[in-house]
Amino acid sequence: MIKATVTVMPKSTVLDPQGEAVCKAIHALGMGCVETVRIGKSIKLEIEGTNIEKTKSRLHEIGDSLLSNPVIEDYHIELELVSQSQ
Amino acid sequence: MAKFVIIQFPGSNCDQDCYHVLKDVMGQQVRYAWHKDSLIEADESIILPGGFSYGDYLRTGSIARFSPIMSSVIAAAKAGQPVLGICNGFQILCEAGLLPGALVRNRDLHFVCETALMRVEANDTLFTRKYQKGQHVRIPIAHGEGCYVASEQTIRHLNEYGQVLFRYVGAEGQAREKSNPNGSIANIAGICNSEGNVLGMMPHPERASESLLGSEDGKALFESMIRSAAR
Repeated sequence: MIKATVTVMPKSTVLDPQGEAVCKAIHALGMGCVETVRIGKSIKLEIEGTNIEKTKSRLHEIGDSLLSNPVIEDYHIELELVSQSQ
Repeated sequence: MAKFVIIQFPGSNCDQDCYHVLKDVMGQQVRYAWHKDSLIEADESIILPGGFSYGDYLRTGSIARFSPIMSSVIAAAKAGQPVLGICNGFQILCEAGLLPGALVRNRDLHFVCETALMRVEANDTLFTRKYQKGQHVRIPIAHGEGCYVASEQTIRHLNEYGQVLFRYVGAEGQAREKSNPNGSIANIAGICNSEGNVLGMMPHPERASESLLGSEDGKALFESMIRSAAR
């Protein structure tokens, strides 16, 4: 089995009001050293099979069409092969 | 009599308002189509209503875009049939690539529910021919993710080719930051595609088509579509 994590983040050019609000809250806690906060989402998938390359290309199809909107978001994929007994 | 089809997704909630306006107020022929259907007639104008399709999971409109009926909607749009996307419908049209850009969280993170003042930027389209160019209209908005964003190049193109049909303005008539309810680039409230047959807008014209509701400013949009269909 392959475990995959797709991390979707707003593009740096897109305003992230949620990240800005959290950044201000962090400053209110007295941690002014935090300069920026961006909030995205992490999507975890468990996929049948052991072929990392094939899985990666399929995941890119899903990432480009459904999981992210290329107008406003970037994403990256991390894959891990796990044994069936886990 | 014009023919309209209103697409219902799980979570649509302005479908009946659109139906009521077109059927009872305007006296047109209207039907619903469920998202699992696929048939759209060649003489029908299509409406994607407001709501929270598929709970707005992942991103607004992203899951609805892959509904079975959307391939028929895309084909009809490409064949030149009128397609109007209101609020969630606008978000779906952007996700489907029928309109450029995307809708993101409102600038101030609040859900805004108010009557917005807008300027009609172009009246040479099948959606706005019953308005005057520059006319101010009051139409309600109700959305959490209505901030329109697109690349600089796209915005320039939309402005240059008259594809911005509605822009938020203040009482003085200027499209200023303080009259922008959601942070949309260039105060954009509604845009059409380059062929002029697909319109996406965040305001709800169906909620402003009867004097009982406080404004009839949205009615001319449906009248424009009816007149276009009658030709």
